[in-house]
Amino acid sequence: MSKIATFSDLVLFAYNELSEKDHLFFEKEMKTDSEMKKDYNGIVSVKKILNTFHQEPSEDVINKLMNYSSALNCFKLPLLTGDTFVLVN
Amino acid sequence: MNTQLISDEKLINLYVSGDQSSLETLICRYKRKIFSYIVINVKDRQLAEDLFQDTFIKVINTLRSGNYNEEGKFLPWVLRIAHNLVIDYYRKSNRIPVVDNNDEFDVFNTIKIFDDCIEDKIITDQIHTDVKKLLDLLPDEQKEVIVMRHFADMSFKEIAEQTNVSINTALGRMRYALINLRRLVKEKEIILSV
Repeated sequence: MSKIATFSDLVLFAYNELSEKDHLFFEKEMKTDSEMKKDYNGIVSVKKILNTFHQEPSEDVINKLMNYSSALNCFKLPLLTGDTFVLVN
Repeated sequence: MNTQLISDEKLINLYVSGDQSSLETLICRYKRKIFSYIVINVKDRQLAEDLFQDTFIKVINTLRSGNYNEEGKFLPWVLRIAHNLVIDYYRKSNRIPVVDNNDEFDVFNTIKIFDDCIEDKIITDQIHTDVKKLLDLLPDEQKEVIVMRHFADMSFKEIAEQTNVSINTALGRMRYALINLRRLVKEKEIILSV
């Protein structure tokens, strides 16, 4: 790791949370600091693994929510309360 | 309508004024992040779908009742609702979220009979299972920050606010989470199609 950068800085860099100036600095450092580059590649490899997990709900769920919202609009239904909601198409 | 240019706040105002498509845009904009957040915290995909639905019922009710007052922080607000529903679920069912070491995690729940490519789906589901198991091996605080930053796309500042810790603490947890995940992948020789 570079003497002037911490691993936390690298995490911020990997998640695009640095200022533009700092981001450019890291991009430049990465070209010459092999240790920093190695740590960064480690973060990127974990990010790639995590990216395989992203999932979406089924269209059916989205449709039920839209139907619920539309029904409230059309019929002025009272809002559902409680913790468990049952929506039927 | 170019949805990329419309802010969450504007979409919320449009929806409250009666524009149903604005709600659909909001749901589609964040469904992946919110659903991933929920599905990582529960073991079952069907349960995750139920909790996702309950989350947005609460969102819809709050928006329509005029009680929404988050000033542009729509996603963190929805995630808080989702998080509370997950906690409620475990509390009411007297269940403790545990590491699932068998191979039964939602592989078959997520396969639809008429899918064009069932083999691909099985492989994808297996990868999901492996990644979830990895995350379940992390200490709760590390898993939480990974889920919030990576899947929910919250900034470290937002994570710090939501979890009542300093940004440095949130970053430190992320650091250890990343290091541990890398170590676990090596130890368990997990091969993922990445």
